[in-house]
Amino acid sequence: MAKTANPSEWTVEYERLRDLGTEKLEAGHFAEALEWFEAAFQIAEKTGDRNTIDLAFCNRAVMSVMLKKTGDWIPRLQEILLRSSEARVARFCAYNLALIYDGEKSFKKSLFYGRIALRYSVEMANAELQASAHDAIGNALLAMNDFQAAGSEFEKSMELLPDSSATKRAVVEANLAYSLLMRDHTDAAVSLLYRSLRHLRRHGSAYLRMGPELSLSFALLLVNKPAKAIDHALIALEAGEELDSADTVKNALLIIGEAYKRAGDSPAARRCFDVLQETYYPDKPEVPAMLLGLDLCKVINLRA
Amino acid sequence: MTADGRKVEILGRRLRRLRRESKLSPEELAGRIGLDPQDLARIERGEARVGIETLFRLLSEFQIDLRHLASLASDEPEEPIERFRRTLT
Repeated sequence: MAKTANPSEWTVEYERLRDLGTEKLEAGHFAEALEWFEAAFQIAEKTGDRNTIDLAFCNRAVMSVMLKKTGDWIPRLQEILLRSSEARVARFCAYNLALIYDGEKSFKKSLFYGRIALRYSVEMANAELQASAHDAIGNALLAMNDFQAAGSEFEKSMELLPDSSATKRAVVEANLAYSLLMRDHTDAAVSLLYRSLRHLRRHGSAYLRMGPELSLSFALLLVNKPAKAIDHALIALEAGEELDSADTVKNALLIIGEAYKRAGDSPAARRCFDVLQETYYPDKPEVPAMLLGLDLCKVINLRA
Repeated sequence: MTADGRKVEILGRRLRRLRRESKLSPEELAGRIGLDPQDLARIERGEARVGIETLFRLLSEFQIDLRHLASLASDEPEEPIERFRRTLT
């Protein structure tokens, strides 16, 4: 673009780059998303519009944190949240802080910022943004073992999402299913997870399918179908490796090990637990033997 | 309470017993395994499941032996009479 472009042309260019970044983010390609968001941020500065610059910074910050890039991202997001009088900016900032803290497993903070995001979304009277905030709150509550409250948040999110947002609905549906699973509504959970995955396999990215596949494998363990549980955990494992999601890989290995154990193949279970320990917990060689003796389905929360 | 809920409760009770046997305060154990003391209290009360990180840290911290784990996996809490028999062997 010419260096003499006027502010509105810079805004169009900013939006183009931001949308390219968002596309990559939704596909789970975080490094590429960050590249686009960094380029969008540079263009945003040329618009001279404070709100555009703040929004561009939010996108760049959340990707940088997810990719573990050093920087004072969180304090700067908090500063924008305190400073901005624009509900759209404050909401986006709070929502991204909720996502960042969720990724860092600081769930109380995630819940705090999720609720702020919800307040601004209500102020903006935007149903889809309210639905995203309810989903973020629900995810924090899932991790904090408050499955009933989490389920209510996901139900509110589903009510607010239009039918046209079918992929978002499928993601929230899978979250709702996990909350049901943790409340012993296993059959309802399995059926919702299959429905969610039917949609996500056609329209969603590997990134969006990863969590629901893992939840389904856990659900299948609970209904005593270890072979099927292994199939779905392997899909999650592959996606986790491809997308560099250590949490997904660890939980998938744990489920596969538990499934072999339930199928009566203790040596295979032990091999699985050994790989898990050697890869991620090299200073805890005593743990695999202990995992063989523990009923993992009764004690583990995949989302914590 | 469901059967699953009871098992989580049993795990919590046993963790509390192991912590006390190790002469650790809730704050000390929470500090060692990187948990909020309130979260540890919920786990001990059987109100919370744990994530994989916490599971590995807890198991490693106590070096729980297989005999303990066999009883962790069972449906029923150990009866006082069984505990008494165990002291005789």
